Amino acid sequence: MSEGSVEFAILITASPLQSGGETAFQFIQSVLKKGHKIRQIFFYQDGVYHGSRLIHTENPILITRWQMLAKEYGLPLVLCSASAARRGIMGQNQANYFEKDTDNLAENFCIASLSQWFEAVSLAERVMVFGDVL
Amino acid sequence: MKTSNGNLLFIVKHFKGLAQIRESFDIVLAASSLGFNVSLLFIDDGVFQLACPKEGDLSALLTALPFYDVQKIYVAKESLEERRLKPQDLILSVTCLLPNEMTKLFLDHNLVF
Amino acid sequence: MLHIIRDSFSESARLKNCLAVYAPQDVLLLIENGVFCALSATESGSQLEDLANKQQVFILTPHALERGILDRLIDEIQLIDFLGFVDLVVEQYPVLQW
Repeated sequence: MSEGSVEFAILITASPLQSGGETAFQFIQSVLKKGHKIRQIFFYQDGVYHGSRLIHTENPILITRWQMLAKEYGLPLVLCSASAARRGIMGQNQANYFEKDTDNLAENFCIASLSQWFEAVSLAERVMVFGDVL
Repeated sequence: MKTSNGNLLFIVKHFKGLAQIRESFDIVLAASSLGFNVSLLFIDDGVFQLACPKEGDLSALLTALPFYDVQKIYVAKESLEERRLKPQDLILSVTCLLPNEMTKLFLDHNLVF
Repeated sequence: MLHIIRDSFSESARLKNCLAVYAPQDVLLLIENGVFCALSATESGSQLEDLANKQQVFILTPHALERGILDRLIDEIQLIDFLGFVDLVVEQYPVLQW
């Protein structure tokens, strides 16, 4: 039984330090290997930590591999604006708006509201969530 | 299969304090304001969320849900009973569901969070 | 429908809740700490045996391997990798994450 290519929208609430974060990354890699498409990857609540430029872990590949995947496949990596602000992750626009003296958004990530996520939800054929929402 | 007619179900499984629940409910309110039909199901310790004191910010947040068009509130009957709670102990009017009714609830929704 | 269990039977009531609402044509996938639910000779393992015999229970091999339980699982459980995980989601959608 072969299935045609389907389009996914993925919500990640698990941080890089939780197992859900790792599961999400490997799932996404496999989605792409199987020839399916990804409309959007939206990071919400603690998931926004994946988009911080300042995270340092023992495994340096952990942070850069999102960028590698994004560059290779043109993946939209979107952080929830409210969740990111609450956790001190900001791009230049947010930093200026909130009058902070620096920004720390990782390359290849962007920041948008939940309406962006729901637009992806209404257009995608498969929606997957990694981590708890409520 | 596209999520085009927009029935979303959010399941609340834990009790959360005010700071956490404010953020969690962002997504519920956003979905409702964007025109999705939103239902909430409270199970396990999530039912305690509805048994919070009637005064206070937590209660105010939850009782405001119907004003955001989130009116379909469901509770797992077994979860209530296990915790010695009754529907009249809760701050919102709810529909109690048995397991087979929850199965139907999941099938009636395009997406379950 | 595809049910995904991420927590062990000792961490939460998720397996119990899942089995209460499980419909005959559904399938179950165990990932992360959920793989512990399929340990043989345990209560949760025996709860899953009926479903496993009907080829309806799947387990994510890398997560079972990471937890050292690959050779201690109930019979008839189906081992899949991440590529198989993707196939399950595509074919058995919608998904319910417990």
